[in-house]
Amino acid sequence: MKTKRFLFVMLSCIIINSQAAELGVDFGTGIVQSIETDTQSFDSPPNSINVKLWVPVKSMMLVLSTGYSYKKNETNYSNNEERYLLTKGIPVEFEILSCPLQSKTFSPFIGIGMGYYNYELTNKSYATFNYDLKGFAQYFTFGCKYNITTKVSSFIQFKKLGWSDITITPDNNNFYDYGFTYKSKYDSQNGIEDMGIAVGFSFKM
Amino acid sequence: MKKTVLILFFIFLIKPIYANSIGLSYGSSFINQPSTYHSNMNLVPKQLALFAEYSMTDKNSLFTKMGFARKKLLSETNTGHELLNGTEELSGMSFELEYQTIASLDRDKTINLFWGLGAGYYNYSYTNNYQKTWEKDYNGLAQFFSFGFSTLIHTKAKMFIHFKKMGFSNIKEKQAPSGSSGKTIDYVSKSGLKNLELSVGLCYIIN
Repeated sequence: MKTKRFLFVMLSCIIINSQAAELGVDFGTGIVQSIETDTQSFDSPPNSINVKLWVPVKSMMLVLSTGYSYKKNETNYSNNEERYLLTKGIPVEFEILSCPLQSKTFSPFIGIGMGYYNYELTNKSYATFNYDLKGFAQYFTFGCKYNITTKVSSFIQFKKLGWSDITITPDNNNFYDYGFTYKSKYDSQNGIEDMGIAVGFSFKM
Repeated sequence: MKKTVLILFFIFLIKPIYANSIGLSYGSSFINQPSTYHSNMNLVPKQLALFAEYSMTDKNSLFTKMGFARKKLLSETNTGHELLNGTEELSGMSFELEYQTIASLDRDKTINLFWGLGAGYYNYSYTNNYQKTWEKDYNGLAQFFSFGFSTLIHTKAKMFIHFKKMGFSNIKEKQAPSGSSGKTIDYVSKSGLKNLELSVGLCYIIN
């Protein structure tokens, strides 16, 4: 609740002070994407659609974004048995980007971001296991933005998870029935194995 | 299924008449699978693709692409009594539609960066004939993200390097009844940039 209130206040402040803001939408794969559980490996990223607010401050850019992530991987057996891995959730992210060429047509950027991630994972195999992934994480980001017209820009963005305080919590009793009782931290993967990619458009308000 | 492929093929044949440029690319395919016999090796088909580009403006382009991919691996095992050999093959076709934003890095537009979104239909099959033959199919639609850069090497030609990452996918991996378990699985892209498709191509500029 406190997080929601904090984000609401932050969003309001940014909107009020944003005379030259841009509103954007992007489509991509997130940075929270792959966990190994007792029964299955979620080695597949959920896809997400995000709404972004870009606010230029001198040579910097403040970006606030939120959206929805979803992925369902099904396996259907010949005896009509269905198993699936379902990942869904809401990321809320805040970024500070350095864009030294933001007044130019082509503007590369690098920056750092922080996000709150609230994901649910469902693993239906011989039993149904539910997990919650919740917590804050920091990430590194880079990309570039290009003005297609005076009002519309297109951008590509890459993200790599850094520090993470996301906790994986099993949230039903099946774990105890099958002898699994663990709560763990979500950690970043090696190199570019968990790098997120997004492509989107932004519109000057 | 065959009807869909024929319609897409027909569209591909008709559309290049209006294209601003056409070309050829060669690279890997983002549909791949682990080799059954070679541990730690992926069966990644090499793909040859024909494409046509339609410039909407000098900053936006649409592409239609038709690709053919194939990879065959030979496996030999000496059991001590006999030499067993067989092959596994992953091959298929793809039809893609892609939107790209093109950002010129210089005034002469010699070096361009591009990124975009696309979607395609993929029809691949895997055959394994080691001791006994079994097959499976990969069929369906998928969405992807792309990025890369191109350079103008002549007034009428440009060269490019193109990376592609699968996003949403409706591709089903279906094992034929002779397969080991006869199941249908959603084909999923690996996390991060692990299954990035890379291709290099040459483009002829018509107008």
